[in-house]
Amino acid sequence: MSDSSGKVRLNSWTWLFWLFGRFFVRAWLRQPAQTILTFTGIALGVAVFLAINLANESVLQQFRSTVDRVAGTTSLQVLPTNMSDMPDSVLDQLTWLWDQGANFTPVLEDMVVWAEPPYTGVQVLGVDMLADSAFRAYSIKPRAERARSPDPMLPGSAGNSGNSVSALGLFAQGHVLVGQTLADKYHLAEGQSFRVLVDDRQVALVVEGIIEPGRLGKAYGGQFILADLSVAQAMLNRPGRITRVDILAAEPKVHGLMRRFATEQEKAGLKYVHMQRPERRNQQVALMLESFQMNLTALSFVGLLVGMFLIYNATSISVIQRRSELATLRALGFNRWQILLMFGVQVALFGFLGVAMGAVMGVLMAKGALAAVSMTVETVYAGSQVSRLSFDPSYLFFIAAMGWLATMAAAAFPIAEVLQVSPAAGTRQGSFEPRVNAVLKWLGLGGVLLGLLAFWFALQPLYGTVPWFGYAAALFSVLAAALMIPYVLHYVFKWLSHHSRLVFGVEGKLAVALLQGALGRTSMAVASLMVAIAMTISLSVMIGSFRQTVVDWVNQSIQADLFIQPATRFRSHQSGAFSSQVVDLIKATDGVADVDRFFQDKIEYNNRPAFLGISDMDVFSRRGRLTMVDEAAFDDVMAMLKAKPSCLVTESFAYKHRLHAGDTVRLQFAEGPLSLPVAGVYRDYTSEHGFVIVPRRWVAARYPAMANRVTSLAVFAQPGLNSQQLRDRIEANLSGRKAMLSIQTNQALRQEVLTIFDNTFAITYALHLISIAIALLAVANTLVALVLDARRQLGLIHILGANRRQLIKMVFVQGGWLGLLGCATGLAVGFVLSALLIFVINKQSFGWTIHYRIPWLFLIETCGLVMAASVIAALLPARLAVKTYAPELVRHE
Amino acid sequence: MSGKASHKLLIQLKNVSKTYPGLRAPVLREVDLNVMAGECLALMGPSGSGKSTLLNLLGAIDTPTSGQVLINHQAIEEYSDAKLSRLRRNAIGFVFQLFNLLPTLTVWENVMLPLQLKGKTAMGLVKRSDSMAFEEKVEAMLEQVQMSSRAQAYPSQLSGGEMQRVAIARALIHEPQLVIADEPTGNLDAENGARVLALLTDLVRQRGTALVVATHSTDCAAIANRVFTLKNGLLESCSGVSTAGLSR
Repeated sequence: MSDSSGKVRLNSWTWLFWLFGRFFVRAWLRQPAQTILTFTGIALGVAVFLAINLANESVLQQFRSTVDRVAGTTSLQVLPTNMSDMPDSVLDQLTWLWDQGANFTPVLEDMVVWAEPPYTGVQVLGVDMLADSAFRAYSIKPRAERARSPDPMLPGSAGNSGNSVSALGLFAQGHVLVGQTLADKYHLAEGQSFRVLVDDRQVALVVEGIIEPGRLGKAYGGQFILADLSVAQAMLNRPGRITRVDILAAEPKVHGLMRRFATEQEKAGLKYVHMQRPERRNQQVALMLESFQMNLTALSFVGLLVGMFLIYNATSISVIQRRSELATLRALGFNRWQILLMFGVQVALFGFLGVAMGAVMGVLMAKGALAAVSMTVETVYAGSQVSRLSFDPSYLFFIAAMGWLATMAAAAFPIAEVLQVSPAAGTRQGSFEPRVNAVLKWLGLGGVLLGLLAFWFALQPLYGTVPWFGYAAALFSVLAAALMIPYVLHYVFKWLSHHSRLVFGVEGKLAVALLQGALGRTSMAVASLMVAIAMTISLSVMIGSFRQTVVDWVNQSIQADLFIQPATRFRSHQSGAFSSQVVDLIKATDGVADVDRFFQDKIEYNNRPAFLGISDMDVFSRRGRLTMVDEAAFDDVMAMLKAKPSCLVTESFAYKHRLHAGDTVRLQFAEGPLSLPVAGVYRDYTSEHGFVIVPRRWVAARYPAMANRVTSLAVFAQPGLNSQQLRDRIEANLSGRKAMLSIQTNQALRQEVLTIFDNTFAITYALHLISIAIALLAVANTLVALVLDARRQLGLIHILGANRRQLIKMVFVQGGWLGLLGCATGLAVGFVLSALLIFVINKQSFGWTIHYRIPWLFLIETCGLVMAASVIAALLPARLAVKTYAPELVRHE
Repeated sequence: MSGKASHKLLIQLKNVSKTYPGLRAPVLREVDLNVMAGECLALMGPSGSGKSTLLNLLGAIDTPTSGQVLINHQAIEEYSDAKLSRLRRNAIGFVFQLFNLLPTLTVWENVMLPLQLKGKTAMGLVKRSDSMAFEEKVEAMLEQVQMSSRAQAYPSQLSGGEMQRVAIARALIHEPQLVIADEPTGNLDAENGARVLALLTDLVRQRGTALVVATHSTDCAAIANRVFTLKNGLLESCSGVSTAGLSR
């Protein structure tokens, strides 16, 4: 748009751009340090927010995708209420579906483990190969050496393409199809055999064909085995069992079928199954991960919140610094709305660019976050690893838009300040500071009121499943503290003014005077730092307390010398059980004093996931050391469990289902119902969903077949024998079977519990380091603004005799004081937030009691780090300060 | 000064007082003043006497605590912010003691700004034909204030005298009816001050623009048709007679 003379030639559409570009963009370029600091802060805040949300979404997306691909065209499913399996005789009770024009097919889904290191889980899908084509579509990779004429008798040939496998081959025992990813991972080819671990044995399988990626082939990330139902039942040692029945029906008929099912269920006494839409499984997965993901999302807001403080600060600084120019524009004839529009566009554009950069960084960071989130999800929740970042682009847009709106919201208040700029302000000289001093008391009072509101929120019980009141209490606590900061700083600076001189000489006094003179922006910087530190402190107190609580619990609960389970039951993989021969072998091993047999399975209780445990209570009561919620009741509880049919529940189960000792737990097994009174509630940190523990004898009394199931063993050594010696003896006794079992000593299990714990919280620490980095950007930004605003004063101080070293010292002292004040306020608010996290949010999310402990060493380290970083953040402004003594800065004085 | 003052009344101050929040004593007390088209008024008085406040009221960038400032026989308190902004952009030019050039705009752009503001349509846009004319005007104006060679310089690259010449160009470029100058030579040395003053008076005389100038300088006051002094918020004519009631 420039002509040869370099002057701008304007047409009708370039006027606004022209002025905006000159008024704002040039200003950004003139102060690159401030621009970069602000820009990076926004981008980091948005990136953290985005990364966590994308990682969470990817996990859910993969589950949803797999559930949808496996469900195929299925419109309804019949599932066991215990979330485990059911007899295939249930199919006989569903034949009425044919009369309604619906079709149905059985499915068996389970997990096996690859028989060689690193022993990863592989999903198995067993379907009726002759009837399944209408339900699931997939393509089998053509085999080069085979003829490509499709066999009309081949299972799935109607709906599935490229099948070139032998029709009969698929029904041969051990012959299976494998997903492309699995084949690639283990270099499998057609006809090749491989081994997997099932329960406590190895099973040999043969690759009959490879399923191409696409449709069903993409389920479980392509790492799965597809087999005929009978082959799968034999392979999994679950004859006559299925995990669900898929039903295909015209959409208008679905509701009618569900109603009819209720009637038929009542008639046939099928209480252990229920009918649901396939989408409900997605909801169940989401529900299972809800608390974990909700807490992570809340954490990701911290980065965004600190980023919001930063943009508030940056916009305030911009309004303050340019107040005189704005007044001149007003005097020249701009009305206040035009000024508002210009500033609004500036923030919108700045926010947009920051969010765009944040989006790119966020996607990159999401890959790292996904690894951490996925590991926790696999270890603790769902047993399925998510390795690929996958999300709907519209979700990325949605989250980025939220980040952008947050920046706009943060800037709204300082932007509104431009409405107050009077044209007369341009005729006066001087630095402009927000009118904080005039409203100090009101800000303090507002802070107290918000604090009271936060306290009231903290006292509210849980409504629904998410502790909204707890989060609100945390948010209002932070806002209350932020509002009170100017009031507190006003008095702190008065006190510091004298003491800073004693410690740092005249530079110390001048440094405090400059901070005090810019109370508004100093308060914002301290508030930004306070938020980041408070969140870090609160989380470290919460995590430290939680860890110590878990350590105490582990030391008390893990008493046996060895813990043995099938190798298939690793992490949260819940598949696999012992055969009675193996249990007998272990029991008979010389040196074994006692064996507590334990059975664990997933169940659904009141539409929420939970766990059922069946235990030999005799050993348990003699050897175990459960931590009861009511500790004095231990003996009475054990006596009751022994004397009459009853059960134990964990604290989280009791909290989620509002149960107390004496209430009745109603369980529904495939074999029938079982109602038991709660003998006692004990503390357990294994699962947030909670356990119901039933003594084996009471299960045996009603359902003898169920009572024989064993999924893990706690083995006690005879006196004089240590864990390792006992382990050696058992392994020798098991000989060939030892590879199929996971045998852990007491110490190893304790260590593993703590390793899982630390891995789970690793992402939390990463998030908060980033938040602190953003807060330090805010400190640097503020110091730059302070230096720029105080240039004339610094110039005068220099002329009056201060040398460069003294100017630098002043800025470093300012950085140090800001860091110290941020740490002090952050610690105070951090302790409040940690109490909220431990006693309100965590309790309401997970139902766990955590004993409050303060990790002093970590707190000292964090504050030391922040102090050091605050002083380092002063480097750039200090460089600016020594450049500001130039005489031209004071030539107008 | 051989002013070409017509008898058209531009601005009328009636019994105007101004008190700033937090101050007990009023800065201006019951001031009455008429500013006629094309005339030159000088305001003198010690620092803090209320000169700048009176200029702000005349320039419609501040409002009185009591009394009335009438423009076109309408009190400015009745004007909306948009109407006041329109008035300033069309009819008034400002020369500030501290120049108040926008630091991110070049000399050329600073001078162009009032024209763009005045020439834009309701949609906030500038017609292309106007834009061409504006450029010619700016070039002519810079020529007049002898700043053509520094058109692409930023304010920070100019001397005080140069900055004030640019400020004068900016104040006159949109042909206002009234120029308000607040101690235009206050930050300049004697030589530069004299040059700037001569330039200002020449330009307003050529255009028939009214000028109200606040000054400490007797040289500056000498160019005025009428000279007033402000003491303790009271406006007096140069003969020492209070102007209160003169306009009635």
